Amino acid sequence: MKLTPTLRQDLKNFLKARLVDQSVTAHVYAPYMLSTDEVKQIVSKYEILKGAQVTAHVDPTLLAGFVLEVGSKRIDCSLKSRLNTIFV
Amino acid sequence: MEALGIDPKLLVAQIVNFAIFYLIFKKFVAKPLLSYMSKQQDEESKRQKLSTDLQSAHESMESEKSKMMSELKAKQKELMTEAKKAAEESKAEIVAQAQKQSAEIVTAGKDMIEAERAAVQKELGAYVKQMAQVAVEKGLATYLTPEAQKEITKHIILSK
Repeated sequence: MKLTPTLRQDLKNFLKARLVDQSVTAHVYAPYMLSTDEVKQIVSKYEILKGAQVTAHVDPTLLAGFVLEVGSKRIDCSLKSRLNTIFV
Repeated sequence: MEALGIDPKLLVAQIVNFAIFYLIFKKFVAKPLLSYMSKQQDEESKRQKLSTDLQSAHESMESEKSKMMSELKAKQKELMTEAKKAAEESKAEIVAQAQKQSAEIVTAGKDMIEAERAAVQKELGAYVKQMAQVAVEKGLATYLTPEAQKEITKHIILSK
């Protein structure tokens, strides 16, 4: 199947729109419920979170630190992942 | 002669008689007997000669037999020596081959043991690491206070 320039442009637009949609919502996991200040600090540190709606979640298995999920991206800054790095 | 009691006619007759007897004896008895004896002597000498020849041949054969026996013994000895030498060489070769094979088996066994040991060591190391990680995680989960969790999280956020 030949990809015409119009079709290519439409596909680009679709993928961009999908990326924008995915980056709209972000999830932050921590061993305790993060305060609003902490969430703000995290948002200010990551460019990818600018303009995104961030939701905090509790995951006691992380021990400390946090895990960020934005669309298909995952940034792990938890103590558990640090331990994993040490022991592997 | 008559006075002596000798009869001349009888004497002559006896002399003639003796002469006849002598001639007859010589002609028909003494000659064949002598001939027979001579013949017997010849045969005896022939037998003697044959016996000597046979003895000589026997001695020659004995000598030949002795010579052949000594040659056979020498040949047998030589063959035995060669067979012994060949057997020794074969034995040495077999022993060397067996030693080589045993050395190869030992080396292969050592390699296998070493590989197994390395694999077990690796597996054990991974298991120990896993156990240590689990223990550390469990320990931290038990002894990490909410304040400490917050402090660590804060530190992580600020370090970014």
